[in-house]
Parts: sequence; structure tokens; C-alpha cells
Amino acid sequence: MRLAAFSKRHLLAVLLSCSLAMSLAGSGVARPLRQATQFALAPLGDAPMYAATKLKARLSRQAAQRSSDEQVNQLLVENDYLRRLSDCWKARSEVLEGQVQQLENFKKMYGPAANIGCELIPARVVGAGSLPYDRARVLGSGARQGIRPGDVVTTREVVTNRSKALPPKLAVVSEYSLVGRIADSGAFTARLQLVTDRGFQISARIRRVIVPGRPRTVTITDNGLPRTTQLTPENPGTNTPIDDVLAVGDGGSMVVVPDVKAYYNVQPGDQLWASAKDEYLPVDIYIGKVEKVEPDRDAKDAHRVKVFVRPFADVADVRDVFIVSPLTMPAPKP
Amino acid sequence: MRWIPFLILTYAVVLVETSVGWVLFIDISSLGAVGPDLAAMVAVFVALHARGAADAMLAAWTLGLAADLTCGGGVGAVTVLGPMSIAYCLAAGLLWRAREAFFRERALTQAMLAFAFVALAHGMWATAQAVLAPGHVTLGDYGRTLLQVLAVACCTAVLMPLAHYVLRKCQRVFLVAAAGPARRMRR
Repeated sequence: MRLAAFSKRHLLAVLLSCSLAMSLAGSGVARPLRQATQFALAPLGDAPMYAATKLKARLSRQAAQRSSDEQVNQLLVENDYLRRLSDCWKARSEVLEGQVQQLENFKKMYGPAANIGCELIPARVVGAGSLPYDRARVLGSGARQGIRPGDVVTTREVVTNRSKALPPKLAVVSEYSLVGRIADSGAFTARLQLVTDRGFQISARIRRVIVPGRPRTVTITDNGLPRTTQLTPENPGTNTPIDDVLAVGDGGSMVVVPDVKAYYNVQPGDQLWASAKDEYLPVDIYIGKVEKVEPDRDAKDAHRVKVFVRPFADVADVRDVFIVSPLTMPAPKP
Repeated sequence: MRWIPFLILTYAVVLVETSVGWVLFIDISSLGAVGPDLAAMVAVFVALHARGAADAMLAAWTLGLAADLTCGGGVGAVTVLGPMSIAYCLAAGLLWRAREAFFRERALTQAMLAFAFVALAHGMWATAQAVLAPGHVTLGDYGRTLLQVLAVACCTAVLMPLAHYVLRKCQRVFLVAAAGPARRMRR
């Protein structure tokens, strides 16, 4: 008995020493061990994750408030306006035509798309972090399928030229939306960092949505000089996107864009897009809609605001994703 | 302790925690996600019913390592491995020493001990990660994480009596019965 107790104490001391050594060794030691754990959990995690995703989606649908008649009418008017605006843009802008063509090419889901220069790797969410401090998800694809840290993840899009049957839930998805990034990848598994994760950041642009009857006054730069102008649906040419903003996750359920100039007059309802300037994105991809705008108290300039964006996809419930893998990888930054 | 069944239990708990468990998480805008720590519930149960302190601490170390391995982010972005196993182990050791002062079968006591265990272990973990993890951690981030820790402790405390009841039903599988008067009488 004494020997057993003695041995256990020694074992405990050794294990605690190992823990201490691993803590001091940093994240370099943690990565391979965590990948091995993901490898062990992934095979059995798929079915419970499926049940949890379904349950969570059902609960969130039940909790959602029904739209009032006024909201429905407003949406119809907005849809009508957007449809007209879309037609207008299609006719006027060759650049947008090119982007639409590129988006069409996204529908060729499997296999490389030469026009875009990227490949979509299908992946499925099979696990989440055990504690609520990280909201990363474990994906069922890995390094052997070419996933690299930094690759961007989008929600699944439904197309008709697929020979493989798709689950019913996916049939209603008709928009592209950014879900997150591959934070880490091993054999057959990869860790997805959601857009709402603390620490997520991506180059983005804000597109203002001008509602008919509600013109918006903004300051634009004309020949290097600032000029105040009014944005209306009749002069969409002046409604240029706000480029070079940085979208970061807030650690909860929102994406935050800090340090935006107040005179851009960003308002709730405007859209946030991940910018194609990001080295891993071939085209702009929708992230979500602006929910509120507050003064940015952290900014040095008092005339700056912080924009809070609600992601389009409920990133907490996301299950099937595609990983955008550029055919030509960008050169590593020094 | 019966270690093979206990390791299987640990695997099952981590599997549930990483898949179905997040259904129990609630998003609170000011704190972030809040939910129960199932591994901590098992650790508290083992600390309350294990025969020796070494058993309780080894079991808690195992559960802490499992939590460490499956929680890759948080304070300081990518977290380091090890602080949770140490924190669980020390908290379980303290709990084992203090358990004689409590009526272990009372639901309120179990909830209070679970709260104390999670607040202590996760608080130590958050502090260690803030110091050791490679990411930059501001005082605000650290404070917010500590509030999140308290909220997680509350959630765990609320569910602890239920977990204790379930684990009590199947404790013979992984726990050797504690030596006591009834056992001596059988001899």
C-alpha cells in the first residue's frame, strides 16, 4: 500500500512537471498534441455535432421574432430597389460584370476554377472547443487535402450541376458569406477560426446601402480635395465602397470594424464585405450587415466610429463549409 | 480508481463537451460565450469521492489535460498546453482536503464546491494564459475573461447536482468505493 501511494505521488510530481514544462515551452509543443487529439475525436464527433447543429438551429429559429407587416413591406421595397440598382450596375459597370462572372465561376464547386485561380475544398464541422473561451471549430479535412493555415472558409453554396445529393437545409442558401479562416491544420482535420472569434481580422470594405427617399450626406475625395455630397439612388456612381478597413471578431457574435472615419456616414443596414485585397480571397465575399455604429473611444481621432456587424451566416451553427484554396499561393511575408 | 474506465469516461466527456456540449453555451454580448465545464463536474465528483488525494489529483490532471488539448484559443489567442491540468490538479487537491468539512450529498454543497473549483481552476488558467500565451493581452481582455470564468463557474454550479446524481449512479464503474465503516464491517 505504501509503495503504491509513494508511486502515485511520484507519478503526480512527474506529470505536473511535464505540464509545467509544456506551459513554458509555448504553443509550438501544443500544436502537434492538439492535432493528435483532434484526430482522435473527429471520427466520433461527427454524429453528435450533427445533432447539436440541428438542435441549435431549431432553437434559434424558434427564438427569432416574426417580422411585422411594416418590416415585410419595407423589405419588399428594399428588394425592389436593390433589384433595380443591380440592373443599373450590371448595365453600367464592366468591373461589376467581371465580378459577377467570377462569382458564377464559384458555382463550379469541385475542381480548380481557372478564372478565379482557386480551388474549393469541401469540409465539414465535426467539433468545437471544449470550453467557451475559444469559438474555433474542428473541420474534417486536413493537410493531405491541401489546406494551409490562412486559407479562407465560406459557407456552402447550392448549385444544380451537382451529381451528389445535398441536404435540404442547404438548398435555401443563395448567398456567399465568409465564415472564418483556417487557423491550424493537420492530417484530415483543420481548425477553423470563426469571423466572430477574438483575434480574427481581415481586410474588408463597407458598401453603403442607400434607401429610396432617405439620401445620405457623406464626404468624398474629389481630385484630392474633400467634398460633401449627397448619396441618392439616382447617383450611385458617387457611392464608392469604403476600402481598407479592418474587420475583427469581437469574441461574441459580432464582427467589429474599428477606426472608421465618421464622415463616411456608415449606418445600420450597410454591408461589410471581405476585400479581394486579402491575399487568400479572389473576389469580395459578403460578411454581414451593419447593426450599430458607435463612437470609437479607443481611436486617437475623436471623429472615428466603431461599426458593429452581424454576420450573414449564423457562424455558430455552420456545419458544411468550403475552403478557398488559391492555386498560386501568395509569397510568405517577411 | 479504476483507470481504464476512467480514461474512457474522460474521452466520452471531452467528446460530449466538444460536440453536443456547446448547445448549452449562451452568448452574452458583454461576456462572450458562457456554458458549463463538464470535465470540471467529473473532477469535482472524483475529488469528493476518491479514496486518496493522489487519486483525485491524478484524475483531475487527466481531465485538465483533456480540456487543455481541446481548447486551443482564448486568452492570448493560441493558448499554451499545461496550465489547465496543473490548475485542475491543485484545485482537486484542495477540494479533497476540504471535503470532510461539508455534507457531500447536499445539492447546494455540490453546487458551491463546483463553483469554487471552476472559479479557482479557470481563474488560474486564465491568468497563466495571459502571462504565457504568445498573443498580446490587455487588462480589459483579462478582466473580461475573469468575468467569463465566474459566469462559467455559475453555469457549472447549477448543473453540478444533476451531474453528481448521474455520476453517483455509475461511480462503481470508475471509482473504487471509499474505505469506511460499512466496508470494515463487511470484513
